[in-house]
Amino acid sequence: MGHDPTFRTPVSRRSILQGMLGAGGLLAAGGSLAGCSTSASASGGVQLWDLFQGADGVKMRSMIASVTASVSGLSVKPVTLAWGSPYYTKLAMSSASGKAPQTAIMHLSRLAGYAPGGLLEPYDLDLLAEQGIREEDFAPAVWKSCQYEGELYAVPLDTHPFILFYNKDLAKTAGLLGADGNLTPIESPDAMIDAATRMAAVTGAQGISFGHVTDTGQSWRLFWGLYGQTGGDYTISVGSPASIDRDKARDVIEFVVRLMDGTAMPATQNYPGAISAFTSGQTGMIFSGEWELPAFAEAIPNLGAVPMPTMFGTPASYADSHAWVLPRQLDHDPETTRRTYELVAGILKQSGTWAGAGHIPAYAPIRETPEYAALTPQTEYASAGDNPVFDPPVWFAGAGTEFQNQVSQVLTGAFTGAMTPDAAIDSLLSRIDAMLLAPNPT
Amino acid sequence: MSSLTSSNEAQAPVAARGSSSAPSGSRSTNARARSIQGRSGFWFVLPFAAAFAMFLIWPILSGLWMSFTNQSLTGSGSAFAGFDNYSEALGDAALWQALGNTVIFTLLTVVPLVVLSFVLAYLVYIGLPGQWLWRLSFFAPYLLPVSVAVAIWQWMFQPDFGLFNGLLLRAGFAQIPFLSEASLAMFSVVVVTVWWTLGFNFLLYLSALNNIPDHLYEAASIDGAGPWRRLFSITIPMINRTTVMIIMLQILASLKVFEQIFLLTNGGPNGATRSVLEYIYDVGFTGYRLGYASAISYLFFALIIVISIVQLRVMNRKSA
Repeated sequence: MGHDPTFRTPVSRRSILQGMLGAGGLLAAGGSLAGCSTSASASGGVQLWDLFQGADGVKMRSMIASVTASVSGLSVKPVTLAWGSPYYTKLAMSSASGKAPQTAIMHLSRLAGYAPGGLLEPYDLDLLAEQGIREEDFAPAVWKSCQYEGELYAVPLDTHPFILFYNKDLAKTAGLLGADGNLTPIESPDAMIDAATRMAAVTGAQGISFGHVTDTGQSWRLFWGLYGQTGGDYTISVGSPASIDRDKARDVIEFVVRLMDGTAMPATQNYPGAISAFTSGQTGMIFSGEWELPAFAEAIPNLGAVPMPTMFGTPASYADSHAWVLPRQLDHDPETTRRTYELVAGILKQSGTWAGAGHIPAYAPIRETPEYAALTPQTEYASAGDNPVFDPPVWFAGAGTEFQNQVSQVLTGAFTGAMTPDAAIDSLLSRIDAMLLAPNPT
Repeated sequence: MSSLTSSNEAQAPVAARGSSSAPSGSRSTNARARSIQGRSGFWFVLPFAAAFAMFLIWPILSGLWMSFTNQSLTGSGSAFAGFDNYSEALGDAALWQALGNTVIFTLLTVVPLVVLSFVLAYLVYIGLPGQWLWRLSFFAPYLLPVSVAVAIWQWMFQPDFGLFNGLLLRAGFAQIPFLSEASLAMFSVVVVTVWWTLGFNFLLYLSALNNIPDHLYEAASIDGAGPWRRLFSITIPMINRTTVMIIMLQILASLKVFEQIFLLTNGGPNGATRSVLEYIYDVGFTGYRLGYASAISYLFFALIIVISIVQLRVMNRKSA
């Protein structure tokens, strides 16, 4: 067989091509990684990693540029990497090697997987105070979630909740607006279904969008936020079996199933499909992260937004927070450290720009400015930042984790009717139990 | 190959005769020449051998070592774990599901990717009008990057306003949840894969068909063989080797499936399309458990070796 020339040619051609691509990729990756960390610290510059693309990325770059312009001698080398698990894989690997960027963006929900393993360095509170950043500038709950064993491991930039956007023009036709021109509060599951059904009558298609099919986080965001509204207890911590309040979890799942009747809400939308349905007017509302605000505002002239409607008693919205962390370094240069703090503080003080992308600034002095108060619809949902529901603080949970992927897949199955709510709860618990038992690699 | 072998055989006796009749001095010159040749060969091979050792041999060995440890991607904990990872893998329900998915995917893709590509190549070969258009349209998808191919189909599979569901709705049928229902998602992945990769096999078949000597057909026609007779008695036997090669390549390629599933369904819904390679990726690079991921890789590697050996045996017997 090996003697057959027709057998050899295509194999080698294909594998050579693949090999060349692979080798090129390796060289490019190795070259850029090695190149940036050494050159950045050698020149006294600060290397920064983030995961912001689209409108977020543009805003972050302009904030960095304006901090660089205002702090003399500061040079920054920003690197933007793709969102999700690849970002955290790269960050963990670079921290483990000690050749990490001086500072990087991390979701607060990932802190429990990074701080205990020594991948991050704690902040020096005195150095932070020198730059004008103090504990009293942040909401106590958020500040507390930035700590591990009494040390500060993250400086929060924003809170980004999962909320309800709506098209004010369509909502008005559907009779869903109050006298103040804003959405009449929706205070029960039935009210939500009713509002969505009335909206569907106006759009001629469906009422509300929610993209969750094959997504790695959306179903969890919706479920966990609403479960937070029920006030249901839970135990998700290493060393004991997982438990949640079954009745309350069932209520939430059954509500979503009822909502997904095909008219009030389509059952099988994926993420981009839901965005398109909302921006094209096929639906008049959408459950979404506030990070989609710039895209929505561009498509819908009269855009409204509210925190997740309180349908289960207690106001709560699923949320996460972008925070600046200090990945572990092998070499500590006091000059570079000071520059890093200058950069982090400078960006916090610029977070008015960041609010333009929809995010709620974590730094209170910015939240209290008249400029922020004038931003709509940002201020309409800013209260969602007061009662955020975060991921359980265990090492395997958080944004872009296999945990979110697994639980989202189970919940999507339940929402679309592929499994009963009880089977879904059983599956959730057994999967979480397996993760609680798994060895902690961090 | 046969012409090359015969020319080697022809040279060998000449060389042997030459050396036997030559004086002893020239024999040592020959030996020196051979050793110089050997040394320069070494330098020619060295760069490749170094790259091969660094990027293939070393990772294979270090991966094997890693599979016996608790090595984490974050650098912590590399304690020796013995066969713990292997025994965990054998009892891991998620891994068995991923393996089942991979096998189903392989069965569902290999058949159409062999049969369809032959049929299309044959239709082009027997002279459909507008050959260049057919060649282009069958081969063009293969040139697309996987991300583009998946993006196109993701939109077409969209509920509500995707091409397929749009047509179904307009014709008064119910929507089909191509990607959200477990039983359909794998089928959708298969459709995308067949569309995207068919062109390569198509091209191999086309070149094999063009290599069949025309005089065979002429002789068959003179003997009164009809088109079907010519297809089954000349065409298919003549491209037998190509078929064997395509089947082997295709089985290996399908077992290695990762990109299109990762991009299209992320392994969902509920793990229904997650392949073994994606599971290894999830465990190793999302869950940071490099030791466990290595152990799964090795188990899968062993499985592929076994499949390849069985395949080789079966195919050899057939083509012999």
